[in-house]
Amino acid sequence: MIRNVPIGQFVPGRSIIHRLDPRTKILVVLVYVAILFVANNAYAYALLLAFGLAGLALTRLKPRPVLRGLRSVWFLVVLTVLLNLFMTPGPTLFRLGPLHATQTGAVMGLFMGGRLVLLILATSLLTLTTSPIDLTDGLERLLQPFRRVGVPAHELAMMMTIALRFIPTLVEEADKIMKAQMARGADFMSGNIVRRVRSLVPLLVPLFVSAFRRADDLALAMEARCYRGGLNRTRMRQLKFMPRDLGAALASVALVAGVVYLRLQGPS
Amino acid sequence: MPILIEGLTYVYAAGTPLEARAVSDVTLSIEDGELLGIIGPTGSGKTTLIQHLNGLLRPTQGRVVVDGVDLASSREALRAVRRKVGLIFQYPEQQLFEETVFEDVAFGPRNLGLGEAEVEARVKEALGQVGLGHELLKRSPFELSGGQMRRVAIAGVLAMKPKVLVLDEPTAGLDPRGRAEILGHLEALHGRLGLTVVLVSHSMRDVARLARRLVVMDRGRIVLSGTTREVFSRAEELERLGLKPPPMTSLMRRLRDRGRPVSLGVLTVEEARREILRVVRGERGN
Repeated sequence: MIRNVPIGQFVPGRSIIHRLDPRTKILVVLVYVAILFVANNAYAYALLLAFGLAGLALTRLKPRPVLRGLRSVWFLVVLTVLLNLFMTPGPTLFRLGPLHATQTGAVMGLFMGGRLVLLILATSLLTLTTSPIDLTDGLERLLQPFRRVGVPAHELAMMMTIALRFIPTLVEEADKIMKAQMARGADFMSGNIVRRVRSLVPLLVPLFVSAFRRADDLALAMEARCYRGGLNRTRMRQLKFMPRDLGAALASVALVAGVVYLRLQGPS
Repeated sequence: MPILIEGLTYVYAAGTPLEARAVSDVTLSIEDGELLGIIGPTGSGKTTLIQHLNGLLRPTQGRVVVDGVDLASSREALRAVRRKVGLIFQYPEQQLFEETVFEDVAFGPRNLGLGEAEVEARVKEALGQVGLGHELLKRSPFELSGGQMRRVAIAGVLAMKPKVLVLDEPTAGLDPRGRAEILGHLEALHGRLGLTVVLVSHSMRDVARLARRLVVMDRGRIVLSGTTREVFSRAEELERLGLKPPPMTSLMRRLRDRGRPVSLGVLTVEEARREILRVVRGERGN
């Protein structure tokens, strides 16, 4: 029924974006998202859009998975555009019953909507081209400097990795338990809210019991192999910056410079 | 109530890159009151196949007819078949959830909408059928031993009084004693109550002891079927699938390889003893 769930949106590939160091990708996306909020005119948005599309083209992804990411938020985008269109004061563009759209609102709405779309585009490019494991590795390395102020970087990354690892296992198990209870006449689909929530008990109790058991086993297995947190731990797969990472960094610097320049000089 | 499976094919995650054909064009009929064994290596589609017997999975192609009613015909047909066909999953003790043994076994009968007196009678009867005493009724199922937990879970299905009992690897992970107990209870249920039993296993010893008829699956298809003796006498084919014939059948084959004229259709220790004595006496007689 729900076996083999793909985790996240990762689409394996060999493109240059796929092969970028995960740290580079995370940082570039962070910079991109930050600079989105600096942009305040059409030229800057055009530049950002061009950068995003160039990144997209370099991933060599088919349009389908990318659009799927956007589909889940189109409602939010439309709502943002509409709210801005009708709620911003300014010269009237047109009327719709008691609502009147304003010119300022149209511009604001387009910018806001565009901002959201670009935000989703950038973050999905990251998750589409980076496996969850790479992502957590990258995060761990990036958080390293903050350990001084008490951020448990390694522990956070390990928890994420384990959580990701067990999602498919738990989904499979939930599926199995659900079927077993259905075979005993359980009904998960009908009745009012209260009944439906109560009908989840026979599913959730066994699921928790087994999750705890698995956690226990895993902890034991890790301790048996002398795991003691990130202390002095070496890794099999080392992250290394390559020339292409430098390229990505330079491109982002250029983007930042461009957007800042356009904000200072360009028409508002 | 016979079960008829016709041209059954089931594909997981159809239309995605993860598409996997678990069962391919399986046709099989299960007669009233028979004890059928389904064997096959891991991933051969056994579990997927039996989940069709009470409509938990819907065939991608083909149909399943229980008691003359096609399961795809209506929701009512589906509900009715879940009462008639009791399905016990692998490691059924993992589905226990109630605070007491009584409550857990009562889950199924209550879902049938039975009165409290009837529920109680059924719970006690079902626990008796798997050899558990009433002193366990108020205990938490999570304090019991592994073998006991499994029997409570089986009782939970028996309490619904199915006509057909389908079990997926009922002895997996049990010690020899727990194993013998479960098999003994199954044999009794089949013999005394005349339940139709479908036993899925890759333990050749278990199926050799219980099943009269065997179906061997490999990669989603039925590759061998016949009486248990017939199937186990085709040792080469079984071994090619990574299935070991029961120990006594292997012993007979080795004796045969050394030139003793023993029959290969031997399944249990007792039969092996008789067969060896017969041959030895025959040799002395000469």
